[in-house]
Amino acid sequence: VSARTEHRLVQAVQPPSLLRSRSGETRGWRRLGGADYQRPSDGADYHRADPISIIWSGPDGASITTTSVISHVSDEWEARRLPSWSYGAQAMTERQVNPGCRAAQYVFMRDTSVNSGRWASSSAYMSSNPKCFNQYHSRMWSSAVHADLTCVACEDEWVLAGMHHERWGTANCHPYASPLPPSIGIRCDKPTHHINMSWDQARRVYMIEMSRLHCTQSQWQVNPESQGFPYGGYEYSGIVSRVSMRHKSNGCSGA
Amino acid sequence: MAVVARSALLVLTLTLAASALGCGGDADGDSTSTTLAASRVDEARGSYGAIALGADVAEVKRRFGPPVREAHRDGYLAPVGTEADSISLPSKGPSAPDLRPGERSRVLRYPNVAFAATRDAGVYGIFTNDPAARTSRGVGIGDDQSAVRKAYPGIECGTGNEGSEFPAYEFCRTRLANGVRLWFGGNPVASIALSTSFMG
Repeated sequence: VSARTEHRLVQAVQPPSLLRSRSGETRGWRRLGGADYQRPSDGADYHRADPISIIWSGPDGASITTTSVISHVSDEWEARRLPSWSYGAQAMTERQVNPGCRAAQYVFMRDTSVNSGRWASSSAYMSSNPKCFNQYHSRMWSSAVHADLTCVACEDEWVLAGMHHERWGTANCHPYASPLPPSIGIRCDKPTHHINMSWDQARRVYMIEMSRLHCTQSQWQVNPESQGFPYGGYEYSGIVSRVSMRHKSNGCSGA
Repeated sequence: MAVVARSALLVLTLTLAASALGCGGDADGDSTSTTLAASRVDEARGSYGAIALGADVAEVKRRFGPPVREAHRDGYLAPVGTEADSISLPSKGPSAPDLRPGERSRVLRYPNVAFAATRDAGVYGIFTNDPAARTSRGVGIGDDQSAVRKAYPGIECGTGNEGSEFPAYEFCRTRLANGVRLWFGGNPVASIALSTSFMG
C-alpha cells in the first residue's frame, strides 16, 4: 500500500454537513449524502447511499412538503405511493411522518418503453408490467425526515430526492445441479430493480422535464457527502439540482 | 454450480502445478504461471496481479494494456461484460478519495477486472470476477462462503440491499490490519474486491 493510500486509509469519515435554510441559518438541519433515511449520527459511509440529487426548495418563504411537490410534479410525472405503507390514501404531511419510517417515500416513474415523452400513468408500483421494465425512479423525502428533529419550526422547507434509472429483471443467476430429484439448470434470484444509468444522467433527464414549467438550477450545490460515492455501481458527482415550486410563467426572480 | 466448481478445480490444479514447478509468475514465466500471477489477489499488498492500491493509471495501462472501457465520469465500477449486481460487487462504495474540485474517478474496465482511480490517490478500488482470481489465503471465485469464513476467521458476512427494491446479495468483508478492505461478493463467491474505503 503506497504512502498516499495509507494517508487516505486513516482519514476519518466526514461528519454530516449542515444545510443552510433559505434564510441562511443552519438551524440544526443536516444535509445528508443519501436520500434514504436510515441514518443515525454515526456518519458512516453506508448512509451515503441513494445520493441526494434533487432538492425542491423555494421560492423564498414557501412551505414545501411532499404533498405540494407531488401536486406540481404530477403535471409531468406519475406519482405512486408505496402500497405497503399504510398511511392512508392521501399524501401525508411531514408531521405525520415517523422519521424512522420510510413512509415519507414517494416514487415517480416515467415510461420509457414507448417514446411518447409522457410519464407512465399506470397505477402499479414497481410492477412486472413490461411498461415499467425501464423506468426513472426517485424517492422523495420530506425535510422533516432529514432534520435533527429538534427544530420543529424548521420543517417544511424542502423535499429531497435521489433520481435514478433502473431496469426490472433478474440478477445473480447461478448454475445448479441437484441430486434429488436429478436436475440441472440455472437459478436466479427473484426479479428486482437494477440501476442501469448513471445518477448524473438520470438527474439531467429529470431536470429537463422539470425545467419545462419550473424555475430550476441545474447545479445548485455540490454535496460533499455524496460526491465521489458510488451506489449501484455508479459514482455520483455530488451535484444537487434545485427545482422551485414557482412556475417560469410567474418569473424566476427570487424563486 | 458444477461449472463453477470445475473452474475452481482447474484453477487449483494449475496453482499447484505452478507451485511445483517453482514458477514465480514473472515476465519471463510461461503463460500459465503468468496468468496465475496476474490473477493473484494479494491482500497484504493490496494488489491484484502487479497493480496495488495507490498505483497510478499509467501503471495500470502499462501492465494491462489499453482498457476496453475507460471513463472519466459516469464510470461503471465493474469489469467489462458484467453488471455489478450480477456478481455481487458492493452496492455502496468504495468512495473516491482525495478528489479535486470537479474531479471524477477514472474507471478502467477490462474483462474480469476493473480499476477505479483518482489523480491524487491513484487506484483506490479493484474489482474482479476473474475465475482464476485467488487471495493469498486461497479463496477464489466459485468458492463457498464457508471457505471464506474458514480462511478469514472473524470476517463479517451479511446480506446487502436486504429489504430494498434492489437486488439482495450475500457478502463477506473485512478491514485488514494494513487498512485494506477486502470484499467477497456472492455465495459462492462471484467477485473479489480490494479498496481503501468502505464497501457495503
